[in-house]
Amino acid sequence: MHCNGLDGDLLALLAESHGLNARVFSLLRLQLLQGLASLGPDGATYRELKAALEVSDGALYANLLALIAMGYLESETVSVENKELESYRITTAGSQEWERVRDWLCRFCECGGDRHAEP
Amino acid sequence: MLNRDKVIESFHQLGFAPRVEAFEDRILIQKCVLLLQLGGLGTTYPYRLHIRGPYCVELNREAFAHRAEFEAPGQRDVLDEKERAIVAAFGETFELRPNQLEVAATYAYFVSCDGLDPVEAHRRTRKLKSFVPAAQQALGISRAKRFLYPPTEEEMREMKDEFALWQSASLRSAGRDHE
Repeated sequence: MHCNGLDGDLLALLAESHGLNARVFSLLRLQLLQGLASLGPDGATYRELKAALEVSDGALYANLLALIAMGYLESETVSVENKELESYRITTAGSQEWERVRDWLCRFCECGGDRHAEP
Repeated sequence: MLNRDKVIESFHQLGFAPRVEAFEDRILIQKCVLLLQLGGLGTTYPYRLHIRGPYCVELNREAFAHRAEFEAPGQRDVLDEKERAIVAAFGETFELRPNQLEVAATYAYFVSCDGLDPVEAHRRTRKLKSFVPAAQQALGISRAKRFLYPPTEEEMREMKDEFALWQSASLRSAGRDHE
């Protein structure tokens, strides 16, 4: 008999999810954490994030502020070709949270996300 | 080590002494090295496409770890004649300006690393660097083409044939204006 889904591992995985910060689980916040985690201390400017993620100013700014308030991002003013720009980089806490979320998501999709399984 | 020596000697040849602490100079380091590498410098920095365009995390780490060497680049005697010529061509083609180099490096990455055709590479570059004014985008892409993808003799012949009519018409018109 082929069984998938609700085995012991999945239950443990679901229980583990309580240790994650549920407020980072929105598409844009996950994209920001992933994008900035891969750049490390160098970070990215607001205009680079906006162009790459193709989101409105309102959505981007609100989500950046939310992640800063959680202690996951920090901002600084940088100068590029005589223009003052706001740049954002991930903090140590942000990197750690992203690692936890990424690890959990990967295991969750492997464990409970068998899209080839018969209904 | 050889990678770094080549980069530092290239910067020395270009007269570029970056301040590693400055965000703008780190952009220049990233983009100069990618373009030189694609031009045949012989370095092997692993660039990947990030939210900011092509970027090498290892190079950034190296710049901070060996900051003094980057900030006062000196002669290393590791570049051969061909590599020195590549650096010279780079210096003649590009200005050390972040916007121009960002656009050029992004276009070059799409063409040389992702294997995209020029039209698609152009489209994606304009999208990813949409904050760069259109004139600077055009300049960056044009400089990347001049440095990395010069037309072959056959392409030049085809272009001359294609534009011959316009050229002679314009010469005739200029002649009439002169009379």
